Amino acid sequence: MRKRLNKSKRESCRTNEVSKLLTVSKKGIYCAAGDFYIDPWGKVDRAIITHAHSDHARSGMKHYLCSIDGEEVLKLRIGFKSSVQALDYGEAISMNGVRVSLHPAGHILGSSQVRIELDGRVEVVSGDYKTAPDPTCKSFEPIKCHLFVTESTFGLPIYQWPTEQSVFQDVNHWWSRNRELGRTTVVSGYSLGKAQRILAGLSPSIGPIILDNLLIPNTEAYRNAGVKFPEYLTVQEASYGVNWGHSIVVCGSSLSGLNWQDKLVEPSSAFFSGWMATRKRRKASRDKGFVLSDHVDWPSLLSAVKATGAQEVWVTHGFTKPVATYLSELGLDAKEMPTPWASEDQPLERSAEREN
Amino acid sequence: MKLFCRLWRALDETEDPTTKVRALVEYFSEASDEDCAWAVALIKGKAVRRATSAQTLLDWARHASNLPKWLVDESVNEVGDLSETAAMILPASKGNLSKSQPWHWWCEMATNRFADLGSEEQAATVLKAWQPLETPERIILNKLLTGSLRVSCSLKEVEIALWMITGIDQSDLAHRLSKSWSPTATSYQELISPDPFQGSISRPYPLRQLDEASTAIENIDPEHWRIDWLWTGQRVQIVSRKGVYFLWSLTNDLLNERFPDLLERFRDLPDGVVLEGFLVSLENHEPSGTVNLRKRLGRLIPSAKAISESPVGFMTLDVLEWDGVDLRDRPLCERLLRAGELAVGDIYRPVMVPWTDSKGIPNVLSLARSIHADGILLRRKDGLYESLDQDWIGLLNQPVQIHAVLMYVQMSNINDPRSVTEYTLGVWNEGVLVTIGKFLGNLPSHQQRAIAEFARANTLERFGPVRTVRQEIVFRIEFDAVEVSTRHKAGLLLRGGRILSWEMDKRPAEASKLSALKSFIP
Repeated sequence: MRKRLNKSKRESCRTNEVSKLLTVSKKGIYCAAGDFYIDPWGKVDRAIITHAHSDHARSGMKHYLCSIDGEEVLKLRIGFKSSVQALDYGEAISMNGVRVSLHPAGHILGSSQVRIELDGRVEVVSGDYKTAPDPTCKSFEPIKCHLFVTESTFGLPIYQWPTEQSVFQDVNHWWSRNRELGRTTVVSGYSLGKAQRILAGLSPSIGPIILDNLLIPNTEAYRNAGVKFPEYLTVQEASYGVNWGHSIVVCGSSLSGLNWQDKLVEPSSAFFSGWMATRKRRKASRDKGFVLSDHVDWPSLLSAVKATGAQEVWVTHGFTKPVATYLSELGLDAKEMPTPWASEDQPLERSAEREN
Repeated sequence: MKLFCRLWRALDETEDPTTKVRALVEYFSEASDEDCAWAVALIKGKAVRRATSAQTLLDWARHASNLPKWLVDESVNEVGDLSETAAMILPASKGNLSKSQPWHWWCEMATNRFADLGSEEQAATVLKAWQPLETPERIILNKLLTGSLRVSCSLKEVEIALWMITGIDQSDLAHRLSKSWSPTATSYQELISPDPFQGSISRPYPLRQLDEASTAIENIDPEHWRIDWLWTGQRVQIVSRKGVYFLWSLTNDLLNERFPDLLERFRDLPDGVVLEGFLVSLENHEPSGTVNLRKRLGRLIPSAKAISESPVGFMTLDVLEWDGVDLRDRPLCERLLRAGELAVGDIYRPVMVPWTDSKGIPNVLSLARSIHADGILLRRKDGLYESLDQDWIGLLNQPVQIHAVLMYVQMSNINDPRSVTEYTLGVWNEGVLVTIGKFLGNLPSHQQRAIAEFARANTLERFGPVRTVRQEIVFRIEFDAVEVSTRHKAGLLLRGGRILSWEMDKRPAEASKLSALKSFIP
């Protein structure tokens, strides 16, 4: 059955000249020649996972392939009994004659771009990525290719990130002010990636840093991978002898914090996300908002696409239409790639899912 | 500019007055006098007119960033604001911020000179200004240039912040801030320099709390006690000293600008007089509820039409100062003796309510609603102004309870039961429900959640955040008074309306009728 499907796919590829290697099937991005999927959303035998966020890494695949850095956080999501093969960045293997290698995507710890090559043709799936530096993961590497699959979560020219340094300057200033007033500072962001990045940017000279319990497994995985953090306390360690009015609490989502809510002193809270760039969205959130994203902004997206030298670009996840249209106007062969999350009329709900 | 930008963001991000005051204190302590003066001008809200349109700024930004128009339109959709979009699509900042002009220079520019520049020069000025700025600062500049820079805090919060920094009395600061303001370093220095003489002229007295007392009323008699009406309106005091007049609200907000017509009358007051009383709407020289008063209070500077259509008056309750002498330590009868000497139109002498014995008090109270009073005040004739609690007995009208049906639900976020929720309720009039007003949904949280659930499942129509829901839920509500109002569909306004409970066993048909409500109109 599968063979027949593959055959017809190959034919369609030839006739439409979509791509020599990749197709989009019901279950996800599929490489027929190598018989594997990348970040599939349906159950498959062989899945290459770009990174361990829930919309890319799903449980129930027979075999997984990911980067060494990302192995532990992936297993935390899909279960430690899963069959996972891990590759070093740049290390190549052959899958049915297709050369497959993983390269840093700079999104979160262990996030990878998947490079596949057959008969001189190179195609790259970026997963989610950012090109700005991030102390908690390896930096994005541009790879020359014929086809580049890019994300477009923040694919509008209004999204241009301030430097990480200036964001953390503001964060630490705000924390010091709260400390002077004896108020607890509470910061939240997505529990894998964002929270660790926030943690790494805090200045421990201001006061104690307390980490919500739900973040500990992921954060430990980061430490095991060699990421350096300022010293932090668990909620239990901070129960006695710590002035919560001077502290900053790092937490994942509103669901956490059940065991420490009553310790907070007049808390002042902030949420970290790229979506906090627009005033409309900042107003909709009850807390203060800091603009900190693990996705590419508009200028970096354009330069990343350019650096690949790819003539064909598939745009997925986010503002697919504006990005594909703009790239086409620049003379590239750009297409929107459908995913189960893409529904054009509801960007807000979709965005919530994307970052939370 | 960085400092002002931080202030604007901080004020924009919170509704909490304490946080706002803290942000103001930080700004006033760090910014230059000129910048502070402009901040005050912007908060007062009359400073800046529109120097250019947001669409023009957006066009300049589009050319500067070399983007196609369709993509900019797409971005506007996402941001929801033209001048913010213009700031956000520009290429990243470059150049040295310290070389750019200070904030007050830009305020000056936007108010005075910018409109006179030629359009090419305007574009060049703005493009050059944008370059070294970060996005948040560009947003502020754009809002300033388009005259849409709203600083979200009140003058009251400025007063508190300046009081915390300088120690100058808040009422004194309020007076200084109420004058016309020119945004210069000199006016800011004047504002924050101690000047005891100025303070003593305007200073109001702290007004006595008017809580509803629980003291028994059986043993009081007309010989030792007097009764006054608690008129429906605002409790205020008039200060007349050295030819200058002040109208202070209970919370020490200066109301002078809102009521120039009443202020005109003050000129006939003797010098050195402070009166306490009620600011009321007048109709045929009689107090008439709050509808007209609301119109006046809502307007910073009233039009001639508003003044002639909504006259106001002052019903004296007490005399706190006479001939420059503080009377608060004299007995009530002596204080009110002075009021007898008042003969000023629209400033009414205290009206003593006739009564015979304590048994008659409930009867007197029952009349209050019909003459636009909220209740009555019983005071001992020999009591001092700041005397014992038992010397003042306030009795308020009994609130009225009715049943009403839920018609519309508005919540800022329907998925978040903590979000502010407003319910529009209706009563029956000739077989259909007519709305009687919006009520804050401060029900127990599990009920609020249940109603959000109901609203989601039973929405008939949506207008933005407002949902028309199936008419099934009945609330018991309570209010203090009913007034005629042309603003509402039912033709009346419920004052002090609040939801008491969700009546799950009542059917919508059992809700009250409009005619029943109308019977409470005085």
